[in-house]
Amino acid sequence: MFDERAIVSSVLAGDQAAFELLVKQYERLVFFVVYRLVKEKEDQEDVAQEVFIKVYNSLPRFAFASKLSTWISRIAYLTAINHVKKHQKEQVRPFTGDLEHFSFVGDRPETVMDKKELAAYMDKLIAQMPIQYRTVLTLFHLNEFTSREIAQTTGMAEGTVKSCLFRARKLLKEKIQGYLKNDVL
Amino acid sequence: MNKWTDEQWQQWLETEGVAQEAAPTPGGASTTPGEQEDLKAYRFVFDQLNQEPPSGFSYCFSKKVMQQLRSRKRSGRWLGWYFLVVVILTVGLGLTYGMLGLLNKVAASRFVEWVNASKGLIILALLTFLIVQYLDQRLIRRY
Repeated sequence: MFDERAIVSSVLAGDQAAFELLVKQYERLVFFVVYRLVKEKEDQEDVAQEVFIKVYNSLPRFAFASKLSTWISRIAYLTAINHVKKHQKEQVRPFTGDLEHFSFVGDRPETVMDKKELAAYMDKLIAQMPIQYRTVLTLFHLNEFTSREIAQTTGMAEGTVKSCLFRARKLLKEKIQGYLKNDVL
Repeated sequence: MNKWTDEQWQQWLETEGVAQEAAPTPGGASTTPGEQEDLKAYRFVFDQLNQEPPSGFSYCFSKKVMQQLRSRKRSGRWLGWYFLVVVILTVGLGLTYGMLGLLNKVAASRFVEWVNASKGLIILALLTFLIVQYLDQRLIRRY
């Protein structure tokens, strides 16, 4: 079993192998966060490496006020957001408009033949959503974080997290509902 | 009119999961065709959201991180050395002037003239050295 405290102590004592173990343990968590926020595939791994370098350098300041995974995901989130700000010129300020009226580019394919195509369409919709919706969906469904942990990671209020999650899923449901009537599944 | 709201469907799927065999409807309750459609769509959405991305990082990702870490530590040490080179050069010039001043005042003033005449060249050489080393470290860090 992975013992957070023991690993952190070993890393702080200068044990490099312990840090490598920590990287292996949390690389999936970081990948999920970075995957949804950084669109360029070739940049995703660079950003994730930067995340772990920051983790290593900041580890002496980690006081176990939260779970190590929450703390690492916050570093991943902030690093990815900074990357997006610098390189993708994407709007990273919180989206305050109504998500139901959010305009998606290349919206609604004429026909969807099977489940795979519908899944690809849904992926496209998620990729176009405002950044805070993408983050919340990812942290909840892939990282299996609670709303409270997502709030700690992103700095949003817990109520905002819940509302983002609800609105994003409702929008996705509405967008794909028409195709399901044609017995795609 | 639908009895089940979007909020209720979402809450139910969060707690029950999306596996159809788990429970076809909440508590086995009968549902209207509209509700069936909502449930089918929500099941699909939850199922897709829970799907992990097809590919992760490269196989040796942790090794790459460790390599980066070591190279950054090295470049941090090199930065200290560069600083030391600049300090040694400055102190060296000062000492040379001081020694010459003690032994031969004419030679000392000639030395000052030489330094004064070649200060542009000295600064350029120093800056070039530092820039080349900096870029070298940046490239090592990147690749």
